[in-house]
Amino acid sequence: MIAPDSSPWLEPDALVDRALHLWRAARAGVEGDRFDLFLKIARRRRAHREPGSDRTSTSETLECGLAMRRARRGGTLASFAACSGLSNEALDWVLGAVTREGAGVLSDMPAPGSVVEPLRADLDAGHELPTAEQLESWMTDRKQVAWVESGGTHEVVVGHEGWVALRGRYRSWAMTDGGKEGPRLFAARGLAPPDLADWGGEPGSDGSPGSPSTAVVVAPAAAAAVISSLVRAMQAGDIATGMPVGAGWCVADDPRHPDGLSGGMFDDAGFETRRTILADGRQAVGILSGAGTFRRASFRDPPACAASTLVVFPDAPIKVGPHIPIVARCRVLPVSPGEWVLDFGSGASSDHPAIARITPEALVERCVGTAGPPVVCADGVITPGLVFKGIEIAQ
Amino acid sequence: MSVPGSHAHDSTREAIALAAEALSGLDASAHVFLEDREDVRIRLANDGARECTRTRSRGASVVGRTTVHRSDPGIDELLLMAVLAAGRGAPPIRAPGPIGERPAMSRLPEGLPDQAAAWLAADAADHFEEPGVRIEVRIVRFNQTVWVGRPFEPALREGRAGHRIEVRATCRAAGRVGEAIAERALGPTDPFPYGIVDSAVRRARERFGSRRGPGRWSAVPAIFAPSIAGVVVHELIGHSLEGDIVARGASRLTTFREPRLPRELTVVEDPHRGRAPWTIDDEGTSARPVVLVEGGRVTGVLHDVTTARAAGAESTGHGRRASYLDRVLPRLGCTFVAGGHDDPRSILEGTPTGVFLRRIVAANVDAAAGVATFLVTDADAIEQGRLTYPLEPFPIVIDIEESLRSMDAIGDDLEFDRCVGSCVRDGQPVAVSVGAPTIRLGVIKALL
Repeated sequence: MIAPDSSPWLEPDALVDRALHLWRAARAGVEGDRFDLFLKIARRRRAHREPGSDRTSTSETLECGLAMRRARRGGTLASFAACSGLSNEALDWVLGAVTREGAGVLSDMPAPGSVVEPLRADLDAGHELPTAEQLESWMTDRKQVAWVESGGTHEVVVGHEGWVALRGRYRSWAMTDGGKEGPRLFAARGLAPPDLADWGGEPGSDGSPGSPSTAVVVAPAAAAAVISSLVRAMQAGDIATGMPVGAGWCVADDPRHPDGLSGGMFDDAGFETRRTILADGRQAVGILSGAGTFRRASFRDPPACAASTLVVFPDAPIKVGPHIPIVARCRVLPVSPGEWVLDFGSGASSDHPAIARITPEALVERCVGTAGPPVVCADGVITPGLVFKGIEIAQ
Repeated sequence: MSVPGSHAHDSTREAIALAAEALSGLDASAHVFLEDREDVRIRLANDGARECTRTRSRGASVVGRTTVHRSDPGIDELLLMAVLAAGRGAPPIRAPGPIGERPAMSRLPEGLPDQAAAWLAADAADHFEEPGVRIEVRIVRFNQTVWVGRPFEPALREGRAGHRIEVRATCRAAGRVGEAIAERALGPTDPFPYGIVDSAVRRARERFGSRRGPGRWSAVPAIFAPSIAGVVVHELIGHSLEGDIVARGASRLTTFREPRLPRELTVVEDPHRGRAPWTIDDEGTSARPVVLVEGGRVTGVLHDVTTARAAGAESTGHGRRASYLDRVLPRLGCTFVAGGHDDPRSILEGTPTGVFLRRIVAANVDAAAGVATFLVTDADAIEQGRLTYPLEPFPIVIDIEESLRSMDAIGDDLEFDRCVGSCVRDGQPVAVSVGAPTIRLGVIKALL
């Protein structure tokens, strides 16, 4: 009898066995084409507060699924499909879908010679999920928390030649209602609920940039969104390699960072990962490309070159005086590939939002320093506060 | 693999009814939800790019004392989920089908990428190899079968579908760039719309001459093209009247002094209409249209079972989840402004100066303050009652107190889904529709 909240494939060894079983079945159906399989199984437990009351309720989740890429002979692209479940039926469905149609995703897969070990395992130490009662108890004293969740995920990549890469992660998350600043997500490695301590105290009195000649500090949680947008702009070529950047724009993608929430020893296509310096505080020096940089947004998405754990180095610290405004939120709205609108939210002294129009190139040039220690943000970016100078707010 | 058929449906129906029985005696929110959904995403371009991914999502959510979510359960596992959700020693239950049997599903047709490529080649024939013209098409289509069971009630089954197409045209000539987006929502059996590529390319060329103002905030009159003001009422009125937002006291429309709205404004939320309609919600409640605003006053709130219970009201059938992995929230389906009596041409001719908004995207909404920021991605200047020149993208701010109250013209040309999007709340995306006629607001704040 199968327990309702468990699966025979929750244990890493069992998941690898299952993956190899499905790989053998798939190999018979691909007529010699190169292919890979990606399997995921996750177990999560959550407590959340009912809207408008102190009542809490809990949930248990067991999510699993698989995805397949099939590369066409002589081509550079692959077909892709994904399905919930780890059953033979799920495999039949994805096999049928990648055979009949589906095209255009990257087909990069490690060559047989580049995979030394038959099994590569990158596993967090094993833990037990907190009980529902423990999660509810943690929320009791934290009225600002809307929900808290802990969970573990195992993922397996099986390559065409039958090599296996196995990853296991344990993480916890919490969402606060946040009041004026809106909802805020917190994350932590391991299964203990995350620390809700904020960075650097309260935002400045106005919470928006002042005149163009003055500096503004964008707090880490707000900076993380700016950093991700800037790196996407670099990937898209909107910030070309060699362009000058400010002293604070010193950033790398480091999938093996010990404090990282995602990433690890291998990427989502099975290649070994590496650290990539993207900007060194003087100029943009590189982009993410090729082996070691493939990432799946979820198992339902094909791998694509994308950042794993972006790290901003506090190499240009600036002492933040009390007169410098600290921005607790910043939304990036791309108007066109060459221009963004930065929305810093409502200023206390104005009846319209503090908004600046700026190009991505100008923004990296105006990142003149960093403030405070690095913080691991919920979206995986590790950054101190960023200091910008010369951002002009529309009046 | 199970295929749609009477045996598979019967065993699924029986399994859901049995699982729901295990939840008897719990509160009204207890239910079993099962979904099987296929999504196809296609991206095509006139430079030969062609990408297609097909995904299938199937799983169940059982809501009892606790909620249990599970991917791809067999029928036996569905029954066990109900036992866990009930949180007590449930009576012995028997599996109605073979152990491990999967519930039935619906399928999207095959060959969609080929059909889409053939359509694009035909519709874009005049522009396909034109120098300086890039055409990119995104097509998103889904089919979903939903089963819902509640204790001692027959299991309900509903098929849902959505189909959306977006054409982005970028034209370059003599160092100038113009970009335009055309969107359509289609029914499950609708053919691809011909003429949409040409309209996007023409608009992109018109936008070569886009101008930018001095970069200052100013208060200006605004005319919203048909359907576009639907985005505004979705954000500022629809979200403010979702039951959980109201329960948290986070809605400007229901807290403090109730704001005055224009007497002529009628806003309706009708989940039976739009690009992804539903007749039963994800808790098994019959969905019904709700008049949110009429005669200048708030007249309705959208509820799921939980928020209805807290408010002492009945569920309106708006309880939705993005997938079996998510919890139910009251959600918007198709929100629209009822048509008025004004002639759209007269509205324009009666506007000495202002902006004519053709496409907007919501950027930030503060339901508690009743203020929203939008990014206008396509607009024209109005001078002496005529459209004069296109404007570069700019942000606008609309608030309930001043901007919506300044609504002084409502056209008789109600249209839906010229500006198509998904709505994301608490990380849950749901396909939504909006509709509106031509509408004029006497004052909005625009960063021109």
